Amino acid sequence: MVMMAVSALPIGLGMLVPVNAEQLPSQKARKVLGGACISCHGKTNPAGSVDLSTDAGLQVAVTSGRLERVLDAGSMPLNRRLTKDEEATLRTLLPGKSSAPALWSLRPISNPQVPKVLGGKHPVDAFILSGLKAKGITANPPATKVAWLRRVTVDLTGLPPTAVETAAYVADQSVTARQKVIDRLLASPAYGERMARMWLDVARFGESHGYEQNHIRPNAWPYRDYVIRAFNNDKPYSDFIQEQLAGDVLGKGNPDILPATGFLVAGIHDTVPSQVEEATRQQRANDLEDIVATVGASVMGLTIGCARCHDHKFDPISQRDFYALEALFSGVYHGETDLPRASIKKSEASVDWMHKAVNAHNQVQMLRLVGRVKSQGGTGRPALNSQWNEETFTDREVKAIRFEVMATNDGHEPCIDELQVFNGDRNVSLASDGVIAVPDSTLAGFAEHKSGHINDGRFGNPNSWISATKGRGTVTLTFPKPVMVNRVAWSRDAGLVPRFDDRVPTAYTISVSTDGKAWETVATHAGRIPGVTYVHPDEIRKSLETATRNALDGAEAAWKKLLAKDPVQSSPSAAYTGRFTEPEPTYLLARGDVMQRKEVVAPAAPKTMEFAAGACGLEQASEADRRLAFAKWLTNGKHPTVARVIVNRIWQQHFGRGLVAGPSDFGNMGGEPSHPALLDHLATWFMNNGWSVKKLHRYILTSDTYARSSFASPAAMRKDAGNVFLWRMPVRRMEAEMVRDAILSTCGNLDRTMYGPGYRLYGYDVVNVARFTDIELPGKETWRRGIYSIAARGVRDGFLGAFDCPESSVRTPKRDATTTALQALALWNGKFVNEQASLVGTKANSPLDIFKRLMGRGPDTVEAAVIRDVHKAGGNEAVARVLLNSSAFISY
Amino acid sequence: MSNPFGSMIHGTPAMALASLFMRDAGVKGQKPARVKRVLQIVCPGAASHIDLWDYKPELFKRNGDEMPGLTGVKSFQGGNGKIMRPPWEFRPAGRSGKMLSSMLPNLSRHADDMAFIHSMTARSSTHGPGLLQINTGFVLDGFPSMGAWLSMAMGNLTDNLPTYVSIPDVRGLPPNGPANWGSGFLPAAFQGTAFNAEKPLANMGSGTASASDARLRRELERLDKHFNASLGGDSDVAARMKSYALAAKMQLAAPEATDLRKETPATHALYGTTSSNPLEAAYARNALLSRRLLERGVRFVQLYCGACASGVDGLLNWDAHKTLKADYERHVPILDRPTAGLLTDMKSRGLLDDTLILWTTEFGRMPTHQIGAAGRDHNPDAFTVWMMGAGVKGGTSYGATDELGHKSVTDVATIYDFHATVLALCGIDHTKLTYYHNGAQRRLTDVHGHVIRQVMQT
Repeated sequence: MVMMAVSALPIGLGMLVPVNAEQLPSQKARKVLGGACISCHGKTNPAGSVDLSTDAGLQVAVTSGRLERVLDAGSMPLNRRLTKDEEATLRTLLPGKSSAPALWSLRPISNPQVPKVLGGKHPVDAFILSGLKAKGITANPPATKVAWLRRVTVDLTGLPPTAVETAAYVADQSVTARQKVIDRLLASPAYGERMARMWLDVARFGESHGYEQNHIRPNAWPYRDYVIRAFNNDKPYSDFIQEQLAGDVLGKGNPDILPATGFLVAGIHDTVPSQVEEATRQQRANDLEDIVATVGASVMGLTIGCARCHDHKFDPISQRDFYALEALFSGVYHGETDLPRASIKKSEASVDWMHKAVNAHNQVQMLRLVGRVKSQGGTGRPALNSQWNEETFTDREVKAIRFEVMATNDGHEPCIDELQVFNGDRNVSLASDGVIAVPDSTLAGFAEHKSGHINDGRFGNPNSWISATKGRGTVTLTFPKPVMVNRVAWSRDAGLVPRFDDRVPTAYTISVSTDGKAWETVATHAGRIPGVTYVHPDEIRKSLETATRNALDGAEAAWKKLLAKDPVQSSPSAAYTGRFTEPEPTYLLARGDVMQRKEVVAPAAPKTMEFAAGACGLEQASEADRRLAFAKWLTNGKHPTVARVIVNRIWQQHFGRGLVAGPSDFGNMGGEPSHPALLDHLATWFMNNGWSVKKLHRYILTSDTYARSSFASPAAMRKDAGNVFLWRMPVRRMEAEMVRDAILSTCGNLDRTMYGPGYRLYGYDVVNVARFTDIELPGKETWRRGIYSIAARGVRDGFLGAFDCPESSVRTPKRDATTTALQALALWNGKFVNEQASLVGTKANSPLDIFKRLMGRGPDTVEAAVIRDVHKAGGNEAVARVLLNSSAFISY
Repeated sequence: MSNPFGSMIHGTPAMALASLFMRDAGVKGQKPARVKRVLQIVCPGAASHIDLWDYKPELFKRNGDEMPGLTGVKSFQGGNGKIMRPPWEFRPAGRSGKMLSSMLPNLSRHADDMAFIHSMTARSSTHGPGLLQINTGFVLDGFPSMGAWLSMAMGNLTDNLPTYVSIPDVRGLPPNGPANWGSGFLPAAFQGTAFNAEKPLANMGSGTASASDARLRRELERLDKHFNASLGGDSDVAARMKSYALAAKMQLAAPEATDLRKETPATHALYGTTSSNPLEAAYARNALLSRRLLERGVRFVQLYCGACASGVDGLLNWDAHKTLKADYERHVPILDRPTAGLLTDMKSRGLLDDTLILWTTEFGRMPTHQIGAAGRDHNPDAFTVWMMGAGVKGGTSYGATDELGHKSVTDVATIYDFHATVLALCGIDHTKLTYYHNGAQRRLTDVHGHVIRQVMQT
């Protein structure tokens, strides 16, 4: 394209000289520029230093691509949209291009012809070999069977092969041997766990809120389980995307689909309410940006979040596009929804467990009370405390019971952790038995303090209720049918280690009623020793006589054991799915400033994508239907990036590097594809095969390209050391969780329990804010796969972190693979590795046995000599330690 | 020769180091940076500027008066009462006569070496995000800390110790915990390694070169060499072998570096490690540990004085909402003598010539007391930080707050400016230290920041 020479003379309106030698700007174009652009981009202080009133300025706008980007994005002028006619007119100024977007990834996906190359029977090989041929690079021969099996097994399941599996594959001489292995691995439940790690990285999934308080999100994990199941069931990727964006509509009433929208709210969220309007708006804007940016990057592969404050600097995404997408998601709020599976709470097993757990807790508290009373001075009935207070009275059959607080020890609103009513030793007041607790008021805004906690059978400050009235509050328990009662117990913080002794009721009346209308007082605070005393449980324990102390120890152990088996906690009653409402209007914010609201923006898809994907009409009545329509548009088979992006992610998984190097950035900064035709071939193939991810794996993995040896042949290294053209298979260091999983599984200690609540590799407690502490050596409950480790924001486990396990606050489309001395120290000296080495050392009966367990194969002569020598120097454990540290173990 | 990739031996950080350093960019008149290492002291909980560093005579004069213009204005915890004077007098310090709290007799002796920035402002009035901002530049989670950026940019000075060490307070971690020394989206190699005098560096084994340990390492090397040969010489495997050689060195060096028994009784006395106040002694040991680490080539040390919030405000850190006097009579002595001892020690050893020292907190506190209490609420509109050491113009006070210390009014500075200045002192142009992440070339200073030349030596 020949551009006309630039005239140095600035020219005024109506005097535009042609900038495109082939297509002179018409009178019409001048008119459009004058009417739509020059008022801001004129001579005096032109906006963004773009002066369209001079030929030089216009030329810069054209050659830099800026004019085209603005037209593609539809981002200017700011006060209105160009008419179709105006836009077409301005496009005549562009250097002779069609109206297809300039950015490669936004053009329609093609179905390129498969090149004809010797050895290229498989289309994947044909594309790769033709690239290599053009560069004059010779591809490597196939890897050994043993190497291929390790590669494909770790790649698809995240776990190394066993010696039995290796031997079976080596012995299988059939032509379908590879195919059989791939099918076996794809059918393995471990496959979904491996794939979920990839997707959860992209989706910035973490299980705490981040920000100041950073509390753990107890019901985030159902989304993780949804993702594992989706991959294991080979849910079509199109459905997978639709459900994550609009599962609330698609899965109404279906507990298997509802958790999918956890994707939208998997990111950080500020849980500290602010008194200041600007801060409140900022919090909401941050949540929405997190959603928009994540949908943009993970599904569409575009960094849409960059356009929050200004038009995208590199890609055709306007600030208006950003807010139009924000409008689409502005009905989404952070929060949980109850799953239909909540019926688990009422299941027989669950009700039975609850009674046992409450009973075990009560045993502990009553024994502690013995110690507390002992250490107490004064005369009268036991002083009130935060953990356990009780009143007894003669038997009565009642329909309701009322606990009225008239004063607290500090004048603040009273707090009740648990209010229990008994018939003898049997608790008759649990919500799980249908007893309803109604307080007269509840302090607003605290999920941990609500009426549902009064009789939930769960103890500690986070499961308590606080009244909204200073010093006063009344709770009424209504029984489903009349019950015999004779005792009431209550607490303010009855956790295993209580932390709070404020808000303790000091004056109260307990009344009962047979009809809910007439009340009879059965107990009051009268006669209590005054004052509220806090004694730490350790102190109480110390003060007890041996027999009582032993009884207390036993009771505490029994309680903890029961807590670990909580059936409700291990089956989701609710999931962190977001809450959905009809949205408030969305405003375009000048420079992203929440206090500078400009015009209202309607929901819309990024305009620049409509060239390929067709129009995305979002005229639906409800916000949920609009999200669904958008999700369907994304997966309509014509969208230019969605299929390319996922195909590239799968390619990256298998080859260590995507065909596009920036897997979540298909914009100008992410780099162009190394094999554009192959990328389009795969995307088309993928969509033609029902968006099946498993089929795509099978398609790629059966290629010769995937089977090549990793040998660094000097001739090829000279031409392509970075292996961009895939003449060999790279050797890869395992990802953080793979290292840990591989150690556990080869040492015979991997707990293969799937799904459900995860485990923590750190200590955790909450004193307003969450506190995370190191654990010297995590226990057996953590010997599950890494995918079940509860990732808290800002907290990196020392071991996983050393191997580049990412911080879950950010989206991680590709993991780093660094090598450091601290990593070596974690493997060489770390307690976790040495514990496992010792365990497998004890179990194994010879160095050879250890080698086979850890490496999944037999040793060659050099390896056999090494393990013999190591064994001589340090026995079985040393053999295991050395092998677990070896590069052959950690690589695949 | 320092390694520009820090303690990372091998990896793929997508960064442009070209023209990162000002001296390479050839900025005229710019002397080569003297800063080789950085010590950042952090007092979490928002240490009160007006009670420690920022002398406001009006607070004393108008103690108990109504605060003008504050009617109806709510700060973090809600309503504010009357103007409240600092519980202690201020006294002139050093040749410059800088007015500092009389609670800081030891640190006051260093006043002539300090450069104060009195006009700081923060973007959050909540501890977690506030602390993240002073440490990472952003109030959101997930961004690399200043030490991580500097580790990436400046590399390591020694193979024997981590490039970046964070020393948490014996009382616990600061708000938001390890995120304050995380590497965010930078490679994990650049994250801070956390340990302190009570809880030494993890995974150092027995810390001795036992014969069997060395033997096993040799056998491991044999295995890896064999594996590498089968690959025709793979750079990743070669890097792993090197990492084990470095780990062996670190395993020997780290216990020596952290062994405070090697110090003389006089040095211990200077820091106060034997103080009868166990918290002062614990912080003093961490201060002494800091010096030993810096001396041995750790590039960036973050030293905490204070932990995160507790059930009682101001108990474990500087968050004195209710009982300022009692809280600071607990905290200031913990900070004062050991920190002053550290400064004295560093100076006498010549370490100040190439070490930059920063004293930081997340924001300031209100000139008023909170209603019904004798403490101060959060104030993001005014706080003080100070610097000293290499490249810093000592005895400077830059910027000012209003007469009550409520808002920064003269030469208002942001945390971006502070970070830009720290990088400039290290010879780095803050607009050029970038890292590509999710579509943007990220910077410590986002898209902001102006270097405060006035606190730098010319």
